[in-house]
Amino acid sequence: MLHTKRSRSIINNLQKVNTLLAQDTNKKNIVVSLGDSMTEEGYFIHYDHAGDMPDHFRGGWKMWPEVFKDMLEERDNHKYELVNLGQSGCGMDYCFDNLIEIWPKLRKRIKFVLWGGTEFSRFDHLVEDYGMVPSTRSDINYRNLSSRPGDVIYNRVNKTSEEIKNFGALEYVDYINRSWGDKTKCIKRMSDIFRKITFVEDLCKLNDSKFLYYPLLQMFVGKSYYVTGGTFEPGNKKQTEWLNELTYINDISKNKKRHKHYVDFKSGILGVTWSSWHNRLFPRRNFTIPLITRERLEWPNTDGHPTEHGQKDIANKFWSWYVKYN
Amino acid sequence: MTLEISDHASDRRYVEQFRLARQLANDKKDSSKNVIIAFGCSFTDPYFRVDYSWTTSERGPLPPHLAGGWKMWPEVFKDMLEERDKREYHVLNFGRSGSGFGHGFESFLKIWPYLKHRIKFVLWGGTDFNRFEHHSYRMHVDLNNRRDTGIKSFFEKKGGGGADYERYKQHGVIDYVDNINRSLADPSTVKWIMMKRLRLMTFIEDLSTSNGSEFLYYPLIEPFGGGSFYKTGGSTSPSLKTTQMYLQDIHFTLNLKNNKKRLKHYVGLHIKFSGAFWTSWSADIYLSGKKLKILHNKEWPNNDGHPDKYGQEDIANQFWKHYVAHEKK
Repeated sequence: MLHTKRSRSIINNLQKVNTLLAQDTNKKNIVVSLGDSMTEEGYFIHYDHAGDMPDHFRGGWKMWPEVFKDMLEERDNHKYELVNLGQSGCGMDYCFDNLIEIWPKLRKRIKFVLWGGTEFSRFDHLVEDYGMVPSTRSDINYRNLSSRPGDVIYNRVNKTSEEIKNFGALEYVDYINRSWGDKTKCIKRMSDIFRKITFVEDLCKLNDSKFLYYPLLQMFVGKSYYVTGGTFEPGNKKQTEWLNELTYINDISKNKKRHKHYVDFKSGILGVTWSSWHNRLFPRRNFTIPLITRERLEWPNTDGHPTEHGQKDIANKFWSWYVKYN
Repeated sequence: MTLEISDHASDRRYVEQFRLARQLANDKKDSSKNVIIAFGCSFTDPYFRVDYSWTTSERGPLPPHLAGGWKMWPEVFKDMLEERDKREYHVLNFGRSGSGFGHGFESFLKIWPYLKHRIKFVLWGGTDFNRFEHHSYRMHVDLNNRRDTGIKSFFEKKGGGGADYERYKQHGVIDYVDNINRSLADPSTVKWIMMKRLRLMTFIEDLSTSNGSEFLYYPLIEPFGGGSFYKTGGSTSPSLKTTQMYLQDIHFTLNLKNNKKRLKHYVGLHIKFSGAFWTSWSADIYLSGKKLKILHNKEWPNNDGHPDKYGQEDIANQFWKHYVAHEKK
């Protein structure tokens, strides 16, 4: 391992790949999961996001890939192995790169590839093993200052911006955030990502592996960037409109057999609509079970990560979609 | 599946290759595995012509017949294959001037799901590891454009900060590029870049093999161009010698040592008792003193380092010889 900025979870799971390879078996029983902090094994909400929130609210529960694996084991009555390649803050390209790293070694044993989609704007630094999250420079982060408004020391924007600046990418990140006001640039990015997603679908099909993709976050989360000289990301309505212009999406729409790979994908006479898991939570006015951390009434905060109930809900969404089509 | 064909102005020249791909994929009369897909930079680009803004020549712009238009190596390779196999092959050449691995890989991702049933050969002309695609704007970025020598000549010519400086500045990548160049003095950074690029190749190798297609990769230029970046606060880019040294440590090479059959996919790579050696076509030409570049033209003195007509034939020959030698094994 040349760079060690990868999360402990990724390092452990890549080591697990080597252990699995050493096993003398041809069983196709491996579930590979991809995603960001909503997927990362053992993810704990960071201090920067939620201040001194008690540990039992921060994490330590089963993440959705593990819950899904449990459901699968119960149904099939045999053991599956999980390789969870989720990493906090990572983007879609990073997820793809992780998959192609293990694919040549492990493909014969992969039964499932489950991908929890994240923001499309994120990217990896070219030479540092550091994931850039351009949306950390959004206006809302400037105003909100994580869970403790007014706390300048732990201001996420200042802290993350300093890191981005040290990697020479501040100007680049702000340019990128300005780009999302431009339809052509958004569509370019959407095409770049769906090219990879549909490629993985094809890869899995040929390998007789199951593939499921579920956007856990919106492609562009709809933030504004006026403080940093930018504009704003497209809202849901525009994203849906542009989604319908993509070759990749029209192809899926026309071929109903392919819908099984795309959780919550809906196609009708008015076109394609596709809500992320996170977005579907917004209409919830009343909730007794907190699905995301900021719904925890006993500890007011602004964090949007799934709680233990949220993780089960995501797994259920994956599972019910899978079962529906199989 | 529908093949994505970009209507962007900068892609216009290349649309023809994608249209041909579409025809071949949908050809109802011929479904045989007889398509060659090729990737690379200007050394491979079917539309390459000498760019006079980059080239100096006392006699002025090169006449068209010296500036390009000859058969590029994938086409020459196809001819050799057709002659041997006595059957027709088709070439789809996705090479593109100025592009790096990222762009080649994107084209590969577009084409593979659509055409894989017909692909017999995947040929990859390796380019500089230091090029990348801009995240939100359609543009290739080359770290070497900020080299000291580039900046010097640019100052003399136009008074800027290196070729493409204005464009890079406009699209927010100058600091980013300089930051990356500064880190090239760190061996672990360089090895990281090598590992990431060669991981893509390993993946394509595996995919091609499992599809019953042949895969050949040949670095046509050195992965790091060498040179210094002192004017922009950087250090030096790895030289040929340093790159060879780093090659010994990366997983890619260690895995090949354990499975030498895989060497058939990598042209010019030799694994000996004393270590791994991999020289690019350009370095080979330099070391052997062969005169196969446009700049070797004595009638029209110039400084363009691209292969000329004979250079293209030589590259194709290297691919071919390697393929045939390993096919026999």
